[in-house]
Amino acid sequence: MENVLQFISGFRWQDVVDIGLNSYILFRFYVLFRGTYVFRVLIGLTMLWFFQQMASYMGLIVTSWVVQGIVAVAALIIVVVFRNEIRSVLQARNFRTILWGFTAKTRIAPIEIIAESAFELARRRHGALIVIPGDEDVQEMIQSGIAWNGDISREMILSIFYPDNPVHDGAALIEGDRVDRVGVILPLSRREDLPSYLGTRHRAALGLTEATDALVIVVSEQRGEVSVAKGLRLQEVENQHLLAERIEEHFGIADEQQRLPAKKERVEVTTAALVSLLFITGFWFSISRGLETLVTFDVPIEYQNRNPNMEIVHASVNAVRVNLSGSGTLVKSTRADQVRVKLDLSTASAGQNDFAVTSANISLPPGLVLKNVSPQTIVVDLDVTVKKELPVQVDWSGRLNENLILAEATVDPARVEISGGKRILENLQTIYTEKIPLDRLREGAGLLEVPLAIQPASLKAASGSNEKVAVKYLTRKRE
Amino acid sequence: MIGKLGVALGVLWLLSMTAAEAAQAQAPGRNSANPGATKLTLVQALVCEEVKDGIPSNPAIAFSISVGKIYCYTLFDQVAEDTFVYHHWFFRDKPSARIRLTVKHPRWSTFSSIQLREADKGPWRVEIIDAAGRTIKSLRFSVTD
Repeated sequence: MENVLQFISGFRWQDVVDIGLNSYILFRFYVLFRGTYVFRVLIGLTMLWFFQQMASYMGLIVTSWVVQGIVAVAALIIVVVFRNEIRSVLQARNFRTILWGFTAKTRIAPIEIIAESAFELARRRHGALIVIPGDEDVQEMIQSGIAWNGDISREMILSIFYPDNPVHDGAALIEGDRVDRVGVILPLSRREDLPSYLGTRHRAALGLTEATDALVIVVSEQRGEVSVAKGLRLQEVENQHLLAERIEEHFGIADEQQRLPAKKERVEVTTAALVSLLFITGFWFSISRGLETLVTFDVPIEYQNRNPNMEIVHASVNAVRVNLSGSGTLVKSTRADQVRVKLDLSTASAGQNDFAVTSANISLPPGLVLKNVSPQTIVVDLDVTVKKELPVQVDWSGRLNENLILAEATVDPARVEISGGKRILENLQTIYTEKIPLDRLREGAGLLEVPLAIQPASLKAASGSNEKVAVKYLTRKRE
Repeated sequence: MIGKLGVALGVLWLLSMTAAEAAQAQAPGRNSANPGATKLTLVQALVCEEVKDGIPSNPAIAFSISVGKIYCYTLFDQVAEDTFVYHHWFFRDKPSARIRLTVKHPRWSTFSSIQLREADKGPWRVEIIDAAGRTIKSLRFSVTD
């Protein structure tokens, strides 16, 4: 009970939004891509991934590698090969459709025209086979046929099945609002329980509907009847209106004026929504509520809102040690640069300022919890920025030839302007050069160019001031 | 021993400060910009390896630590009356020694010195300061290996 309460108390509103949002995204992916090859391939990839995880868990090294490789390449293939399908989903449909709309699975064929044409063919006793595919692909089940690609019209359907037309014996394949192919050969049903009066045309219709979810309209040449084959059933249709209803049912249209999902489709969509929710919830828990792991990062401190007239002279530390906890998956995927420690200097004044480092100063990736931070207080020494002109002195080092004396040296420029903290510059009287080794000096005059050694590092030469000086020197023989 | 020396130096310093203030008080109005300053001209100022019989030898701007001792020599002329100056020695901008030297009318040379130790390597300067606290001259040099 205590564990349950602890679990609920640790559940944030962001977590609910996280699960809900991602469930909806997954669900929308299903709605947008269902019935397309993309969705089927995605399902295949998911199964491959699952298989790879299983292989990895069972210690099947090569199998795991091979499947992992296939999954990695397949993901690339999906984007390249199905770019048109993806583009059509993202471009052809409007924003509303992508976010929450439900479109019919396919473009709707002109149902009334098909129904009317079928009964006209029956009246004329012209045999016909009209295939209207469902969600499943029928291409693998049919043979030959001639590409037609014509808009559906009553006259066109009548002309296709006109007895003198060379293609009238085959079936016409409807795709959306077009006749895609004609003269198509369908597989024959092998059932033995069919009435003997049914001819080859009816057997062909059932041959296709037994194997796919297509609907096939059969017009009997001998009896002048119209039948509809769907699944394992072949039913005679009495009139044009009933045929139209059967076709609408096939398309999942309950009402001619309203394209709402049919009852069957509603069940399918609801199931998909629930599966999406369950899948994402499981995924979320596996990531964020896994075995708790601790991790430590040394995070550099970022200072914000510093008064531009002041500068940081010294800080007690440059980085803080942050101890975090979270699920193993989250911890493993967290990089040090995702953890940031920020100190707001807007309230700081010149001199020493103590800042407490709390969780408010630390930004973490979602799902990680701050356990400890060290040190918990940072002392930042700030100073007002001023400029000061200082004399330059050469810092000689090493040992001069014993017979020589360094008699003179002049520096150009003799003074430089330095910018830095007021308190530091107040105590600074001289700027020294980098060390110049005496060992290399020879008798007589010479000229050297030497950089300035501006210390501490918070100081710098004011704009316009050189950070190098010229040193003219003169050595002479010792008396 | 060091404590006693410190106290003695402190007393000396206090006395010298008192004397300087007294000197300033005794010579009012000579120089309006530097009240109390006695008129004097610095003719020569240098840092050298040795001062023998009042004459500096081997003046330089870099001295080996092996020299052991270095001197700051100053020669004044046109000294209006007896006064004093300070030789203020700085090592890396930090005061190292402050030596009060008498300067007598009408021409006077004087010097101060420091003993060099291993830790004294680096840039030095000596400021020559008159009785009014005005820096007359700064001499810069280095102590090296």
